[in-house]
Amino acid sequence: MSSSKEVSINVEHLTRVEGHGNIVLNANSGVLKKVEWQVPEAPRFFESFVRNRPYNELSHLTSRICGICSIGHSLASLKATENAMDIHISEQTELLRKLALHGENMQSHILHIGYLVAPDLFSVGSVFPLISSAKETVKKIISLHRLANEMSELICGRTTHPITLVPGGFSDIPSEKQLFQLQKRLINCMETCTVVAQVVLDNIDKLPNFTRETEFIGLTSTDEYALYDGIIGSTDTGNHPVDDYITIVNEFIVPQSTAKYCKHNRESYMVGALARFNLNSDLLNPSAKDLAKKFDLQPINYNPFMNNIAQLVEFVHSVEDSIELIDVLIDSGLKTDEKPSTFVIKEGRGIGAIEVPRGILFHDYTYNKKGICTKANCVIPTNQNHNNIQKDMEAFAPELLEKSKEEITLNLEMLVRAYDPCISCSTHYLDVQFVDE
Amino acid sequence: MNKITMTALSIGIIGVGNPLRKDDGIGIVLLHHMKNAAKLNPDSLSFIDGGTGGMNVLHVCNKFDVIVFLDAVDFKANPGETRFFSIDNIKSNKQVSSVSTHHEDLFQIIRIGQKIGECPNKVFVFGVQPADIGFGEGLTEQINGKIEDIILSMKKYILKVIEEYNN
Repeated sequence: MSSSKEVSINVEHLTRVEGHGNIVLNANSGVLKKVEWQVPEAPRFFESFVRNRPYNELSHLTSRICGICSIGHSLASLKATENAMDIHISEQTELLRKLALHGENMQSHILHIGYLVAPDLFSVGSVFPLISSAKETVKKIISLHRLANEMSELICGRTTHPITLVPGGFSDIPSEKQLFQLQKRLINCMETCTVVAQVVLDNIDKLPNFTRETEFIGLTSTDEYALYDGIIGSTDTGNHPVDDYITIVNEFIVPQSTAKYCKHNRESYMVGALARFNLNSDLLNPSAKDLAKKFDLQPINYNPFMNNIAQLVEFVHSVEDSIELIDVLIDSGLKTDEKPSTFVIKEGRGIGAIEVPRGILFHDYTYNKKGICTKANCVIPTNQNHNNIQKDMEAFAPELLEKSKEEITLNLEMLVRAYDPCISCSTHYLDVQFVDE
Repeated sequence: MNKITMTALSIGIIGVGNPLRKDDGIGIVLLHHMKNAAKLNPDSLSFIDGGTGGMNVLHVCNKFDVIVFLDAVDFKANPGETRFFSIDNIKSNKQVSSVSTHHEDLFQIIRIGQKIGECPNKVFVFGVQPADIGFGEGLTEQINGKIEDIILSMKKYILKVIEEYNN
């Protein structure tokens, strides 16, 4: 495309978490005049309608915030409630919750890599044309997705929107036999993971080589690759207690978005798999570390497109760690009749922080003495990423202006997609309008 | 003497729909009615709440030899009218080239599943023409008023499927 031409791109209804996002770009004579990531989605008022609801409803209500991260929302919610009321959980409950979170991480990551990112790697519009061109790969992706779904169902009682996760523990616990069967399937799926990873590796050149230095924030721990628990870690400022989350996320509003934006030490920060990798990669399991090496993924990596690869690495970590967790659960003597911890309902405030597939998630509740929620605050990962997406676009767009409109659009869409906003985004991303001025 | 019997094929009855969008939830309502019709239900019959569909449907499809979807389908008829057809019929007969009201790609996903061996070839749909699929709980009066006939019609077709593939 000639740089003397004016370019105007308007990608409308590029949906994300539970709504829509737009990309707007205007350029003249090779000079970028405007590039904007807009989020016009209407507020959903979850924090308002959980008020005046009893403590035992909150995890079920807030799990509806997302159809992909519902396990993570349930767990963040339960942790907040348990912290508010000094409810202590058993070691078995913690192990099972970690297993549930791995199930969700696997579900979400393979869905994103396999159904949403793979078409970009194969230069097709969606997963559907891949059925003909890469049938065996698609079958493998579906088998991994199925395993993750069924794992979530086994631990949580349902594939999505868990029902067995309750304050203090579980209402139903899988049997030893069921866990052994799951473990066997997890062991067998490692070979499939290797094949899928090789396909991604063979097409890695399709991911743009773009970097912009930014801050990465996520949970961190000295004991393990932090997903279920930890303290807040920043690649810029080190570690912070979870209780200080308000001063980390620093939510603010911008005219072009109904979703809040966030910033901490710099003008923006990133959360998600790449942030976790950059903070905690030394604590990944061996197979995940090996995979990261194959992709030459090393901390600190500043290419947002490598978030896709970090997800792949995390998928393998989750599989391998789940195999180990099941060993620990069985070796410790699985108690299928264990009841949730007993506790006294009391007033107080509690914060729950957890890593969900798209990044660090906070739930913060205040309860009165009857266990009724009087105040709630939820800070979800995608909102924390909006500002970073905007700053990435501002840095990335000038590098694209010599390309065709189609290529510019595709690259900007791929950028947003790399942040893995939400499953419903994928097809709408392709609803593109061009207006030549 | 050993009795020689044919192995019954496994049949999955999958209700699809969103109960929070009025008549779109008819598939789920019918699923529960069908599930409670005990005498109709041999062991090889399974009942699945398929929710609002999507790629997750494939994860249950591969467990069965025959599938019947219960769904709200817009085939430009009067509300409450029903159709029973196979996925193959949609290809060949333009008059029923309709799509699911909430997931227009449901049938595409099924065909993809068939192509990669994740879905059986025998897939049928019992479709009900909705009156309204806007937001709201419960079926509309137009559909509720005909629910007994709709259930009778559904049972008739599913019995035929059982007779053909399960005996």
